[in-house]
Amino acid sequence: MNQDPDWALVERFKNGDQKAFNQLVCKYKKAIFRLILKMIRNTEDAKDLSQEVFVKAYRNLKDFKGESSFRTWLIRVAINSCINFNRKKKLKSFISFFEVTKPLVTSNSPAREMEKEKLQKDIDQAILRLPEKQKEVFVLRFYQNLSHHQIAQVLGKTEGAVKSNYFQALKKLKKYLSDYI
Amino acid sequence: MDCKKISFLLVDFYEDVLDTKEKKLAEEHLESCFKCRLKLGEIQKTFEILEKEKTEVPPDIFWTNFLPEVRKRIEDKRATKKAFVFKPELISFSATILVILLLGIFLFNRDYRSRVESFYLEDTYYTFYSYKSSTERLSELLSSEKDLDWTFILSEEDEIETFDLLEKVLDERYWEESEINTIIEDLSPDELLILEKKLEQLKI
Repeated sequence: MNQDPDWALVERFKNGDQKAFNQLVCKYKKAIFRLILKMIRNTEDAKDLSQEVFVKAYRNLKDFKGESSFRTWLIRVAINSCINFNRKKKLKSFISFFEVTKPLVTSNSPAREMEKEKLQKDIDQAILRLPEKQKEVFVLRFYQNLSHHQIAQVLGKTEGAVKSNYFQALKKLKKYLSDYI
Repeated sequence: MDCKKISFLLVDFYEDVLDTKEKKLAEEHLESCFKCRLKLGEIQKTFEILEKEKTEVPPDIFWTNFLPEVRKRIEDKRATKKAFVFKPELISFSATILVILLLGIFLFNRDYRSRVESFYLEDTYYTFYSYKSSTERLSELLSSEKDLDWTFILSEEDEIETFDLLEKVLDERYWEESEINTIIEDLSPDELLILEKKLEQLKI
């Protein structure tokens, strides 16, 4: 018997119950959005990509055999979507490197707001600078509160490798954010 | 436990996920090691900075529309997929059309080649292509200003008839237009003897 709390919904969906899929979407939409937002660091893109993750899930759920929990499987779909998104973005930024960039619009926000904005920007940059594998592990651990064991399942790695990636990620973040420490 | 081993456990120590034995060993080491306590302080500070990050929450309307939007995208993709859906009957139909086309091309080429006829006549190379009726071809031939360099077309059904007509026309034109010297030169010695005899008999 499958221990996954979502397995019943998955089975109902596989038997043609569309409402079961709707329930899965409602249950995980916020978690998936947060995960994607922390990975790609852009709200508008995260909105779009989180919906796209559920479209992918809908199309591929029939092939899901329950080797892991539905949550783990869905997180893997989201992580893969983020990786693809980042690849495309890198290509786009490479192309836009040759284009004329518009000057940034500066807001008249108070000094404290500006400070907060700067910190946010620096954290975004620090996370985005992390190597892809370290970033995946860090986001899943720090923002999604997944255990090392769960992350290992999601990413198909050993727990030792996950711990090492997490440690390395934190070391790099400490370095990138040294102005605030 | 040495500093190198402890430094790898510091993150887990901060997150309180070490087992009891490891936790006790780490605590003992930290009590006596200023350098590692400093490292732990940096880790703690890094986490505090990262926790200051504001989490942007999308407006309620986004969550309300989330499921309908996902459903819409699924339907859109399904519609696109249907337009390009694989149908075995379409494959067999396309294959039939392809075979007919290939067969047509093959037969046309064979027919075309069979219609092109070439031969030597009067030391000139003639080629006949088929695309007009024999009457048209003959009128073309007769109206042609060029004597020996014309080209016309034969159709398969009247090929033999056309050749006969052609020979006749060529023959007529030969006798009408050729100089007497040319005609005499073209005769073989036997033909020339026969001609001489016939002329004597006529008593011209």
